Parts: sequence; C-alpha cells; structure tokens
Amino acid sequence: MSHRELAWYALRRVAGLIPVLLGILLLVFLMVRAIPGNPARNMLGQRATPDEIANVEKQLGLDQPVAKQFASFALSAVKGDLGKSLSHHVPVTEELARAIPATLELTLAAFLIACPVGVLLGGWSALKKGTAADLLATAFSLSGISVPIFWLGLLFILVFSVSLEWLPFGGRTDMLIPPVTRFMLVDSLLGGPPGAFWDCLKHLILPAVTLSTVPTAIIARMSRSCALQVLNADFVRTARAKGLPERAVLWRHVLPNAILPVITVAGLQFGYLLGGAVLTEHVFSWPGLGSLLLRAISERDYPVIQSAVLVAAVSFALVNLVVDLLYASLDPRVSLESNR
Amino acid sequence: MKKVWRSRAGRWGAGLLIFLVFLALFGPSLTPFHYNDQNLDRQFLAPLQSFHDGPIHLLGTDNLGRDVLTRLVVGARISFAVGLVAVGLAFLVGVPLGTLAGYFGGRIDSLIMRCMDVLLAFPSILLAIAVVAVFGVSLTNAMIAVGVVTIPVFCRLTRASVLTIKEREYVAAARAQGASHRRLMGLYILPNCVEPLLVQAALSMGTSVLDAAGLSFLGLGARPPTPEWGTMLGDAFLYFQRAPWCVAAPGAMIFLMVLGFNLFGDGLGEALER
Repeated sequence: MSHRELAWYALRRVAGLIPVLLGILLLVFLMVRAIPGNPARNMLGQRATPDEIANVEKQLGLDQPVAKQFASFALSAVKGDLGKSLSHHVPVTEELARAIPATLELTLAAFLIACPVGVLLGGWSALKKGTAADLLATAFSLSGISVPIFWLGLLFILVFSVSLEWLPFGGRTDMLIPPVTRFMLVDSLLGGPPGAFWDCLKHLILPAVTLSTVPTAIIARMSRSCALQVLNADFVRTARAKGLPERAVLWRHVLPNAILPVITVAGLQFGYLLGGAVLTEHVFSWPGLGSLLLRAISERDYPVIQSAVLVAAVSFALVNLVVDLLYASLDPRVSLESNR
Repeated sequence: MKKVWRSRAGRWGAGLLIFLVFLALFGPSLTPFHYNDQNLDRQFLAPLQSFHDGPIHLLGTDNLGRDVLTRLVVGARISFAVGLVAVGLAFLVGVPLGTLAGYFGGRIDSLIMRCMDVLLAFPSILLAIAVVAVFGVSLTNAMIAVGVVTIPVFCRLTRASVLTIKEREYVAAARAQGASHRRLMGLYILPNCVEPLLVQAALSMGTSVLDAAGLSFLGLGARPPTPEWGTMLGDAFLYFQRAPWCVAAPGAMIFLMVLGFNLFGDGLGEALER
C-alpha cells in the first residue's frame, strides 16, 4: 500500500468514525434522559426542594427542548466542558484528570504484560503442538478467558499480600509523592522520596497482573492459531526446503506473518482492559476511572457517570482506529478494495 | 451431540455443565440447610466443621452463619437463569436485526450496523454498568444490561451468515417461485444460519455469567441475601482475610461454569466444522 493510498484509507476511516462518535455522544446523552421519573429528583433524592430540583434541571439543561439539549451537550463535550460534579461541586474534567492517569498507568502496565507473554505463550504452544507443553499452554489460555478477574485479584491478595507478605495491596503508593504527571511511576522518579519508585511498582504489580490475565489468554489463543496456520504454509515449507536454519525460518518468515492478526486482537483488548479496570480498581482500591464511576453511581452523580463512560468509549473508538491504521500500514496485502 | 462428545473440549465442557445442572436441580434438596438460614453463633465456621454435633458444613459458613455450599448450589440456578435470559434477549433482538441488515442491505443495513458499531464502541462491562446506573440496581436490570451488550455480537454474526446464504441457488430458486421476503428469511435463510449462532450462544452464556457476576460483585446486580455468586463474592470481599473459603468457593463456581460454556462452545464449533 503506497503512502497516498494509506492516507486516503486513513481519511475514510476517520470519516467513518464520526457517526460512531456522534452515536456515542447521543447514547451517553440519553442516559440521563432515560432515568425513570424526574431525573433531577432521582439524583437529589426524595427530600430535595423544588428550588434544588430546578437548579439541577437548569445545570443539566433539562428545561430545554431535547434537540437543543443534545446540541449543547455535544458542543460542550467537544470543547472539553463536561459540566460540574453534583456531589463535589468541581468541574468533572478536574475529577477525570485525577482518575485517568491512574487507569492509564494500570491498563498500560497490563497491556505491556499481556502482549509479550501472550505472543510467546501462543507461539511456544504452536511450536510444541500436541505435546504436554502445548496442552498446558492451551489449558492456561482457556482458564484465563474463563476466570473472573475480581476473584483472581482477591486470591492474589490472599496469597501474595496476606500470606507471603511479598507485595502490598490497596492504593497506588504508601508514600507522599508530589503529583506532576499523575503517573505515579513517573512522579516517583521526578520528585518522590528515595524508594518511591520501587514502592509504586510494588503496588502496581498485583493489579496489573490481575488485569492482564484475560488479554494474555486471548492473545495467546490467537497467536497459537495464527502461528499454526503460518507454520503449515507453503512459503515456510519452501524456506525450510532451501535449508534455512529453523531460527531464521521462525524469525524471518513465521513471526512477521503470524503477528499481524495478533496486533488487531491485541488492540481490541484495550477495550477489555478499560472495562476490566473497573473491577480491578474496585478490588485493589485503585483510584482510577472505574473507582470514580462506582463512586459516582453510588452518589447518583450523573454528569460524572456520563463523562466517565464517554471518555472510555471515545478512547476505545480511537484505539480501534489506530489499530486499523497500524494494521493497514504494516500488512502490504491489505487491499484498499477490501476495506471499502 | 455425538460429534461434540467426540471432541475433547466438548466432552469436558458438557461434563462440567451436566454436573452444574445436576447441582442446580437437585443440590438444594441434598443439603440439610436452607440457603438463608442465619445463625450468628455459627458464623465463620471453617470447611468440614459442624456446629454442636449438627450436620457438617462442607464449605464452611459465612458472616451470618449461613451454609456456603447450600448458597452455592442455589446460586447455580440463578447463574443459569442469568445466562439464559441475557443470551435469550441478545438472540431475540440481535438475530432479527442482523437478518434484516443482511437481507435488505442498503440503508437498512447501514442504519442497523451503525447502531451496532456504537454499542460495540463501549467496553461491554462499562455499558452494562451505565445501563444499570440508569435503570436502577437489580438482578433483572443486570440481566437486561448484559443482554443489551451482547446484542451486537449476534447481530453481526447473523448478518455475515445471511450475506453468504442469500446468494445461494436454492434461495434464488425460492425467490423465482415468488416467495415473499418473510418466507425467504424465515424458511430458507435463517435456518441455515443457525450453526454459528449456536456456537456463539454457548460462548456468550459464559461471558454473560461472568459479566453479571462482575456487576453483582460491584453491588450493581443481585442484592443480598440473594445467593448469586458475584454477590456472595462481593459480601466476602469485606471479610476475605478472616474467611478465605467464602471467597474461594463462589469464585471457583463462576470459573467452572464459564469454563464449561467455553469448552462446550469450542467443542460445538469443532463438531460443526467437521
């Protein structure tokens, strides 16, 4: 695919994303409008005075015609104005700015564990097809996609924190670290006390490993089936027949061909990681987007709920776009026709 | 079924599911306790202990002195119901939508598939949480929420099958004989799309059970004292260091049920490919 073709493809994919983003906005907008009864009264509780209800209705724009409400909601969201938290009376963006780095740190760590481990496990399993090692790896990946991660997290805490006392659980650190980027690992290096980085890393290990379990298993399954397909392909047989050493066959011919579908699957795992982060954050008291969302639900803070869901959905849509573009640019066989 | 039984995954999956169905049907009458029988004197009894020479609590008791095993076997009924309702809802909505999109194509297809793209743009558990946040916390709403997030899976799969099957010669022949759209879709196309949908239904049962348990664990699904496995785990989370068996048992049951559905789905897929 030439650069021009790729740019054209990227443009079309971005254009295709616009209706999806509008749909996400509409769905998130309708969330509050779908609350049974009077949404403002539901948010404030039965003891709310008519003045308080009128105030919230005004703040959420519920006193306007629906089309106007949506237009103003969409416009504000595009500008980055997501309203004010009903329970904390601060801009929602402020709350998100505190929570998002925590979730990103966790999901990135989980992603960085899942990708190499999944690919290696799947590839190894394919190379050892039919042996006990293959069976073990397959059993691991099947168990990985079936295990409830909130349960696994609790088991990890019981074993590694309570019994063995190797790793801490709860929160991101036990130290006072001045927030700079709000990514604790980075902040601990920038201005934390001695040992802060190690402390942050120790707090991150259990939640990240827990969250990475399902993506690791899915990537391993995909890698195994892709590797098996490529290992049986004619060009691999030809490479072997030419007398190429097995290592060269694997690195030069098998890996580049088997890895492409894995990239798509790995990219799709980002959505899972965002969802799974809600459960993991709850288990490990990790102060991220999931914890914010759960707190907002318990406080019926709908602007925060809407914003957290919106941010997650938009990020997921954007990551999918990036994965599609990456796939198209990496694989010369992806034809523009097939993507039209 | 014979073909499923021939695959190793199918055999293991079917075996696990048969065991769990047996547990759900007959388990509650086999244990000497009631699932909500509370007695604070016997709280946190470890597994295999009994209270004052009474019957043994095989899996111990919880914070209210309730027998964990009895609650687990009653919970199996709830989990099966959750899976069936959620997948049933997704099937009943997703399959007709996918059929319409694939059969008619054009604007109808674009409209339906763009809506599905929007639903798919949300991480599933987050969308389910949002649905529950709007309509209120209850097991019914959790089942509906999980069903809603599964709709696009069935819709896309059905559309893909319909696109292939509608081009077959026997469909063209029926059309030439004057069969109506409804007759074509209902009699000639849909019955031939069933196989991949069955595999997907089995796999979706597992994910639905898992998602619903996750919602209940977060306090957004079944409410106590309902012995739903996710709710039991959520309760046990408060005292998990004191009574680890209260954490281990419900989680293991969720794991076994999801594993059963996944293995069975894999086996079914292999059998249908043969």
